[in-house]
Amino acid sequence: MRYHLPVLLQNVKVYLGALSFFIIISSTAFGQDGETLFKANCAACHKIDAKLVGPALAGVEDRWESRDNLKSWILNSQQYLKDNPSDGYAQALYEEYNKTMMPAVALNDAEVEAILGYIANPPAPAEPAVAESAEAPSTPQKDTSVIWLMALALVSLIVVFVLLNIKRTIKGLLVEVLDEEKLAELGEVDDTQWTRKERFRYWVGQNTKTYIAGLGLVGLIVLYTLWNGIFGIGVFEGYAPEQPIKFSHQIHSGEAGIDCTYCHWTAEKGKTAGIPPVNVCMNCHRGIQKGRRWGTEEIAKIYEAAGWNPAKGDYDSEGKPIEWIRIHNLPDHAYFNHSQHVIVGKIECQTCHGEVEEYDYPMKQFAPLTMGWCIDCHRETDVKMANNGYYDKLHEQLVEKYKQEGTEVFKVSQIGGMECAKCHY
Amino acid sequence: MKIISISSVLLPVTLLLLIGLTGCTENSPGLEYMPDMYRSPALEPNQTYDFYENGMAARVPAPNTIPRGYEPFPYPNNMDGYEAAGANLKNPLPYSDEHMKEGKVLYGKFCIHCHGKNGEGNGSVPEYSDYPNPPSYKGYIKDLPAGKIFFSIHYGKNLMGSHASQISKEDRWKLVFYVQKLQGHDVAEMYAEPVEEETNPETSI
Repeated sequence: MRYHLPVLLQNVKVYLGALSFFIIISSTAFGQDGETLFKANCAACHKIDAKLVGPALAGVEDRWESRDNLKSWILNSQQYLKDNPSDGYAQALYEEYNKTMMPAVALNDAEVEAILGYIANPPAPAEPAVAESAEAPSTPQKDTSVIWLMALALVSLIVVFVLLNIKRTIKGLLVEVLDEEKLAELGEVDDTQWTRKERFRYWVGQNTKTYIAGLGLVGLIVLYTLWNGIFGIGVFEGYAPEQPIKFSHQIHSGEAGIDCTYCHWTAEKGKTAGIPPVNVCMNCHRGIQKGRRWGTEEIAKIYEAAGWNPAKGDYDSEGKPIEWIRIHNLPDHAYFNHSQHVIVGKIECQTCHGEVEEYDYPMKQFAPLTMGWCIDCHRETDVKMANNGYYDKLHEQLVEKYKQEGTEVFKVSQIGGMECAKCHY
Repeated sequence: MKIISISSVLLPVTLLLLIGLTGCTENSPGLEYMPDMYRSPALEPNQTYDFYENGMAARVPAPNTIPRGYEPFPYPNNMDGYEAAGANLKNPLPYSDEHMKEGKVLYGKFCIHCHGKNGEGNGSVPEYSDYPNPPSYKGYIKDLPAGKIFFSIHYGKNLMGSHASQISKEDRWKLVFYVQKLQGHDVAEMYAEPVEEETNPETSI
């Protein structure tokens, strides 16, 4: 294909001209500019339709006596208060918001106008949250195979029952037609007058091996189930109870990227990883009032627990504790300390709790938390002694002690991780 | 006769075992071996306890109790306190690269998801949700003094909540070093000046 160069160049010129025209238009366009300015200068504390740190801004122009006053208030509220001690509205506002000062902003008149224009005509909110919440909340898939197996067994039982009945009917007919000798020739006896027990005993007499094999099979199943059941006692792997608030680790940790230790900071400081108190929820949820999946329903429970009144923007009631259901529970006779593992041992949270950042609601127990499981890890894990202040001295001693083996890497079991009294005392 | 009665007992027992012992379901942890060895008679953290009126095992300490190692924070949670902290509150920790490094780690745990990697207010939470972007450290708060930074972490500021329960006092001061670095300051130089003698370290913490 060939191009006619001059024509092509001319086209490029036209395109460039149009492009620059649009750039100029869009950068001076009112709405566009106002939105950017609003987000950069106001949005940290103000929403248009709701109270946040400062008042809701919808209709702000009507609340002020003059537009000029409002503008100078926006630019430097502290100065405005000094200059206008008689402006009752401004002074009252200052008092109402606990004398919190709006920081002075360096904007010119056109920019303030753009912001006010944006506040007066905000764009219709594009709500990705609604689209997401329209998706049905993913319910965990239940294992239905047992139910299917049971149904199958029931159907086969019915079939067997029906077949036996048919056989009995045919036999009844045969007994009527044939005499005993002919029946014996066919390997049958006239049992029509027998009781059920007598028939069963006759059958056992004829099929002793099958009967014993059947009994043995039943016995084996019982033993197997018992054996398995015994090992399932006290093992709560996969336990995922319903919680009072539908909290999704996937949303918070996975998608919003909040570090585990932001909420479970005591995992680094003490024995338990801790359940965050409600003030930690409120650090974000004062600002986020509508959830992705369950809308305002679940977040309202946080507000109730915290005693927060979102309409007033204040803590105005007592609050009440959230009764989370505990999932991970070690027996009282085993001692486990989080900080010892997280800080000293440098073990990742995921090693014992699984990929929690991918767990949706409800949270589940990943590990069996049995003693065998603990011990396995203590046998196999190399202690991270390098650049670990806790082990500097011990490491030297161990290298000396194991000089003959020439090893410099040690398992947890080699530093006492298998001693009974390490965990049981 | 005996044979029959054994098998007619065994079958239902097997079924019961199958149902009862197949471990835990989602909503129930399953069987416990000697629950009194699992459940401590002494109260554990975050446990319910019906003896008390609100059902909580954890008790609120008596009024005016102070925790061990408590140091009073003399600045009240209002604008006057904020200004006073900005003017008088100095970082009691000496500057060191170690502190800066720890500050960075702490920042990655407690601040980064809102304030962003470089403190520009574009963390993952405001990007993901409708939580408003916090102001950039390089914007109008680029010269916020150490005392006001500490005050803001301690009490919270505007939409930001108090982080005093999560971050210890010492860690908060380490964070101040790192925040000042993100503000664009040469922090090592800032703290290189001789420390003013008249600041009483006990009241300035």
